[in-house]
Amino acid sequence: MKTGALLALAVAAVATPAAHAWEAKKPIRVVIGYGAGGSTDAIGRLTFKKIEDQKGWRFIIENKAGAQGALAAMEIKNAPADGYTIGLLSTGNFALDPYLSKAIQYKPEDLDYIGTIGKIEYALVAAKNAPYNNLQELAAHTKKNGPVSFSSTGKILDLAMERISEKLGITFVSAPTSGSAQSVQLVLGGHANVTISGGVHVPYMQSGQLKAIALMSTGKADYAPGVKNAVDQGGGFVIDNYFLLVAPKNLPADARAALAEAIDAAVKSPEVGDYAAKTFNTRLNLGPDGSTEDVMAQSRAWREWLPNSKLAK
Amino acid sequence: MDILANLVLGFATAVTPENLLYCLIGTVIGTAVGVLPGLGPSTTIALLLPFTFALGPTPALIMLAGIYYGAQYGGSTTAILLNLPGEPSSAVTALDGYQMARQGRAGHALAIAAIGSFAAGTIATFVIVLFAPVLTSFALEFGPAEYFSLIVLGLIFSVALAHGSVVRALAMVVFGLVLSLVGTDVTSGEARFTFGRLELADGINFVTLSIGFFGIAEILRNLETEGRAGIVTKVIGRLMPSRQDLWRCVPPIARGTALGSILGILPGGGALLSSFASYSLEKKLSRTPGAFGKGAIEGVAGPEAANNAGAQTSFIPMLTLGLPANAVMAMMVGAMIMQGIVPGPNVATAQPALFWGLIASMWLGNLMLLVLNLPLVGLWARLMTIPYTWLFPAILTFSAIGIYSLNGNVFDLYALCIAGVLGYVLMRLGCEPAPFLLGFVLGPMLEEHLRRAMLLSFGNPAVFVTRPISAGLLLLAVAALVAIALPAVAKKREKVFVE
Repeated sequence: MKTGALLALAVAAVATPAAHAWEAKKPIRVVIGYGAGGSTDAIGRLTFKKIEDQKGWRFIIENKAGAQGALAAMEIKNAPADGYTIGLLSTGNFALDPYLSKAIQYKPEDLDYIGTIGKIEYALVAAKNAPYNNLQELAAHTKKNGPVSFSSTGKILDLAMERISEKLGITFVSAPTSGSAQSVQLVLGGHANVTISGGVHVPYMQSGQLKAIALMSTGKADYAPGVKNAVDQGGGFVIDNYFLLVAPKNLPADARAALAEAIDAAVKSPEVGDYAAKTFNTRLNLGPDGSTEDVMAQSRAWREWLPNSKLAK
Repeated sequence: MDILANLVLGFATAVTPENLLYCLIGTVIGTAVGVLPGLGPSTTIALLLPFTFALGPTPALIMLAGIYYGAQYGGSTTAILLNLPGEPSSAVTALDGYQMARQGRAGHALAIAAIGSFAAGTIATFVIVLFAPVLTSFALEFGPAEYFSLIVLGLIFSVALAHGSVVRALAMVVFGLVLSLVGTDVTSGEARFTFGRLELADGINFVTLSIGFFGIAEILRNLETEGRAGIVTKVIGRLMPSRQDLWRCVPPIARGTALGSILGILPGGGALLSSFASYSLEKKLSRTPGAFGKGAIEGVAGPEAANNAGAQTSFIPMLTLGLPANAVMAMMVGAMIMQGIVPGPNVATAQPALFWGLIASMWLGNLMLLVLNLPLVGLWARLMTIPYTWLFPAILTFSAIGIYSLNGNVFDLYALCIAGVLGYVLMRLGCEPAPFLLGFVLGPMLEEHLRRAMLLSFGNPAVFVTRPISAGLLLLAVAALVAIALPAVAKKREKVFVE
């Protein structure tokens, strides 16, 4: 598998110790592009706490949630490339967002990528009693009864929904919300028909209030063994979104290697693994080269597809 | 009995020495940060979050909850003593609390705030124990249309906050709504009215406006009084309210608790609306509505009770739906997730000790606040005897430090100066800050829910009147509007006839 090869590469790069290993001599500033208490913030704080324990470095964590992460990305882009400012956002912030709005003043090439903490496992969910159980049935339902309402927590989810809908003939209207907990609540209360969520929905599936129509990430999910992902259902698209660690462009090689190594060790720790499992995401570090390649590949794919999108305009 | 067993489990969990200790630490830290204007609980919790990893989930949440309601308590103290409301809900407390303090009744105001909060907290704890599952399903019934109608109702209520002219109050509400448009559009993500400044991308900061409009403007107003370096008040007066005063406050506290318990369930502004609603209700029911805004003790007791009851019940949607009522609660959701507990319907059944322990700890925390703070009332009240020459520079310094610590942005300090001067000018024009602040806080929610409701109904505005809860709220709003407008119209006609 491609990811496996990338991982091996990343591990090989990390495993060669530099002659003079870089050490953090002062606290490292971490800019998280989402609000305190969100899923990115939570897994990030845990990871950096782990690095503090393992390496003795100090981190100062700042949440800069404005403009769906764009403010944080700008801040990192403009920071000095000395290893003392890094950011935690998600792949979509770099592979997709810069092509959606002219206001976003960065491109994926403007930053260095130093690793990932995990992959966000998305699913398209609906209320238990919804008259459809998979994408084909959803398509048939909307052809007959008109569009479904879709509570959406971000542009990338809108576009993912648009891609599978286009392919299968589903019609929908998107209503943006300010967080996945809210999106899920709208579906639970019957105010919206479907939503795409990355983990928040799982307890409600276990309690029998929600069901998954399709997984929106590759692979299968333990909590919904019978549900296929959107590609296998003919939707032609799944989201590969990672908790992504970024740094200003042209980080010194030794700093980049040391940071990547510290991150890798923390991601491999049982705490981060446990946590990812409990929140139904997958722990996965693509490493510096793997992350960079993934961002670039995804950004090429989005740029090819965006001219077809009505939602992106 | 299930309920009894739950309560026993809760108290058994909460009274372990470790949990008691963290509850105490939380309430003390909370009170301290609440008293310092600007340095709010969200900053504190963000700083403390990493330390909670080492604790188990139960003590961690107990401590964070303690900071949350401790800060609300401390926030009322500064609102009463210095007219510095750091939280939207304490803006209501400042209205009559500060007037009481100026009349030498700071002790009464502080004591009734503490007693009202404690009584409300006690009742709300039992409400949660008895009705948590019912309340959760009620919260789910509230969709965008219901929120929109509730906020409309709240905005109309807010007119009653002012004791002057209705027209000016309405104008201030609208001014607040207009200023709240600054920032990033929730639906499209585009920047609005930011003049290209990234500092404005997330809108104008509430704390900056609130401290400017209330605190700084008040200092400017005081400077006018012939420049004599007096003291705010010479008499401290009796510290404890009289038996008569206490008795008078029982109905407002009861009504405030009921309002708070119900509205607190609604995440995002429910608890806040309840303190505004309680104030309006008490003013409407009072035989002496003219006393409101001039130091009516009911105007402190009711809203404080509502606020605290709401803060308590707002833990229900947080725990069972993962829906935070405000930034502090959002961090508590984060802390839960970090401890591996995903908020959801299973929390109460899968983690009964945590769920009921947290609720029991809130009651204990409220008791601690009462015990800790009642003896301090005298000390706080003495603050009012500090001469202006000392007090005002100190207030300005602490306000500036607090505002700067929010985002580490110098821009916010300029904004504070502008807000202070603007607040002063408006005060001189007879326009009051409370309706303005409510409009400012509710504006973004009003817009968000309106647009979301319209999107989800595929553009059909009938959704606001066909859904029963929404229609009921809108009817109430119309009734309230008529009730406000009728006396005003009558008065005008009288005037016309006199002339």
